[in-house]
Amino acid sequence: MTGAGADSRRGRPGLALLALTVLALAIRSAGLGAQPLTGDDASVGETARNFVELGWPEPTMWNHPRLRDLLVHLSLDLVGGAWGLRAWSVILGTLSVPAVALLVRALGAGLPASLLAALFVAADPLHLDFSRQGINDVYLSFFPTAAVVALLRYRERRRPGWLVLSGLLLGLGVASKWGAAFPVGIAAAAVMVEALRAPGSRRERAAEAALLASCLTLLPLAVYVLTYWPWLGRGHGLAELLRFHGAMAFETSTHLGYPGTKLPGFPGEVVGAWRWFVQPAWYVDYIPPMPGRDAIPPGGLFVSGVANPLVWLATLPAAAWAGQRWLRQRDATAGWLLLLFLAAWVPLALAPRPIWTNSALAVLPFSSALVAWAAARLHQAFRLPVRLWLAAALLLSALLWAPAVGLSTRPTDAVLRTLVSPLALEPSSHPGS
Amino acid sequence: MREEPGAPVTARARLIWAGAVAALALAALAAAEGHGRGSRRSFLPRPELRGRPVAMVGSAADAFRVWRAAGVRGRHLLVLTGQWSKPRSLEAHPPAPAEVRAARAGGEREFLDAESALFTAARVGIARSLEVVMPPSAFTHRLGEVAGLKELERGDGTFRLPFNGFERRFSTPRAFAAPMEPVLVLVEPTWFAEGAPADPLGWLSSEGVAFDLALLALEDPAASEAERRAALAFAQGAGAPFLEAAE
Repeated sequence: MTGAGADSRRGRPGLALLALTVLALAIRSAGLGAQPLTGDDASVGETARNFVELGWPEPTMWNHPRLRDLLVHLSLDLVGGAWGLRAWSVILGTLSVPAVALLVRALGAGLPASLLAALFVAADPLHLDFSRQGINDVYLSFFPTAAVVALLRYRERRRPGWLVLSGLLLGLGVASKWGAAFPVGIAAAAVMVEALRAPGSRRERAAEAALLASCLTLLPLAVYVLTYWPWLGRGHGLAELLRFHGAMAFETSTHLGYPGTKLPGFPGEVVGAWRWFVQPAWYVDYIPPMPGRDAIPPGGLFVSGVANPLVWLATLPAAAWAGQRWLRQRDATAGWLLLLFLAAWVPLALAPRPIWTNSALAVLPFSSALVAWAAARLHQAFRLPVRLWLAAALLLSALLWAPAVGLSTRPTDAVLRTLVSPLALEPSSHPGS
Repeated sequence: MREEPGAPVTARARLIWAGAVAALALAALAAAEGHGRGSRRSFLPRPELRGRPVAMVGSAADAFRVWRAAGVRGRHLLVLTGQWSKPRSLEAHPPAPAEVRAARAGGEREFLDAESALFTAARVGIARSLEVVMPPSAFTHRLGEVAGLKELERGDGTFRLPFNGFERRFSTPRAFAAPMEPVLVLVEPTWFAEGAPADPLGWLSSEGVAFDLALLALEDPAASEAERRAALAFAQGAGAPFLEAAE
C-alpha cells in the first residue's frame, strides 16, 4: 500500500483526489447563501470595509494580521452578501484538502494515506464549519500546508521557483495568523540543515543558504508588510508598524477574549490547546432570533463544529507510533509528519493564555495527516478493524454535518449533545452574539 | 504529473535568484515606507487665518470637521485638555432628532459629537497617534480611571495607553516631551485650570512644538463656565478668527 509502485497500480490518483476536492467544495458551498450570518460574519464584513477604506482594523481581531480584510473586501465588492463574506473560507478550506494529500504524498506516505488524509480534512465537521464562516481560521489549514508542500518539492527538485512559491504562501499564511510560521519554520529549518550538510563546495552551500534566506524570510516579510498597505496609508511608517506589532503581540499573548464576548470561566467552551486530542473539541456559535429573519428559529440557531472524535482522538496514539518508528527504525516519513504536527500544535498547547478551538484549524491538516499515515500502515495488518473504524468515522462525520452547517435533526442532536458540553448549547453562554 | 529534472541549477544561478528575490522584497518594503510617509497631509494655510495657523472652533466635533474638510491626514494630534471623553453608547443614549439631522446635513456617516470626535479622527485616519497633555489634577484623575488596564505603561508624569494598537500618550505639562514632527493642536476649555500654562500656544512654542494648525475650542463636555470664559478670552487675545465648521 505504500510507494510509487503501489500508487501506479491503483491507476488514477489524480482523479480520486479531484473527486475528494469536489466533495469538499460541494459540502462547503451547499446552501451557503441561505445559512444565517453569525455575529462574526457581520463583523468580518465591517472590519474589511474599515481596514481597506480607512486602515482601521476594527472591530474583529485588531491584534491579528489582515489578509482576510483585503480578500473579503474584494469578494464583497465582487459578489456581496453571504458569499462575499465567506467565499475565501470556502475556497481555502476546499484547497486545504488537496494540499494535505500532496503533503502526505510528498513525505512518502503513499497514495492511500494521502487520500485518507484528504478525506479526513474534507469531511471533518469542525473544518466544514469554519470553511463556511467569514472568519479566517481555515486559511491556516491551507497556506502553511501548501507552503510546506512547495518547500518539499524544492527539496526534491531544487528548482528555485518552488522556494519562491513556498515563501509567497508562507507570507500569506503569516498574514492570516502568525501561527502559520510554526510548521513552515520547522520544515524550513530541516531543509536548511540538510542543504548545508549536503556535499558540495562552500560557494554552493552559501548560495543555497542565501536562496533559502531570501525566499523564506525576506519574501514572506515583504508579502506580510504589503498586506498592511491600507494601514500604512494612515501615514504610518515601518517603524510604527513594528511598534504596532508590539501592541498586537502583547494583546495576543495576554488575550482573554474580546470585550463583551466571553463569560468568566468560559463556560461550555474548550479552552486550552493542551486539551485537544485528549477530549472531543468543538466550537459553537449562536445566532439569536431576529424579527423578520425566518431562517432563524424562535429559540435562535446554533452552528456547532465538532472535530470528528474518531480521527481527532486517534492523533496522540498515531503521534506516539510515529515517534517510535522515527527513533527506532529511522522512518523519515513518520519523523516529518510528527515534526510538522508538533510544530503546529505544541506552541499553542504551551500557551499560558486561553486558546480556543478555532485555532485548531491550523493543526488539523497535520493531525489528519498523521492519523491517515497510521491508519494506512495499520490497514496492512488489520484490514477489517481499520475499515470498520473508517466507516464509523465517516458515519460520525455525516451525523455531525447537520449542526456544522446550521441545520438540525433529532439523531444529530443526540450525537451532538453527547459530544458537546450542554453549556455550549445554552444561549446564555454566548453573550457576544 | 511528475516534474522531470532538468539541468542542475548552478550556485551562480541560485545567487542570482536570491539577489533578485531580496531586491524585490526590499523594494516592496521601501514602497511601503514611502506610501506611509507620502500619505501624511498637512493643513494648508487659509486666507481667513491671516497668516497665523490659529483659529477658534466651537468644540472638538467642529475641529474634526475642519480637519476633515481640509484633507488633513496621518497626523500626530496634540490635545491640551482637562477632560477625557469616550464616544457615548448610541444604544444606551441614542442621538436626538436634531443631532441626526445635523449629522446628515454634514454628510457624516456616523454620529459625531465632542465626545466622539477624537476617536473618529483616529478611526478615519486624520490622526495616526494622540498626545494628550492634562493639568496635573486631571491627569491624576485620568490615570486613576485606567489604572487596572493591562495596556497601561506608566512613566514619571506620563503614561502610554494604546487603544487596540492606536498610540495614545498622556502627560502633565511638566513631563511633556515635544513630538519630533509638526502636529495638529487642539486646546479645550478644561485646559485652563490650575497647574496648566495659561498661554498654551506660547508654552508649546517654548517646548519646541511645531504645528501647522492650532484650534482653540470654546466648549468641551466637562468645561465650567469660568473655563469657557478663559478659553474665549485666550482665543480673542491670540487674535484667532472663528472657523465655521464645514457642514
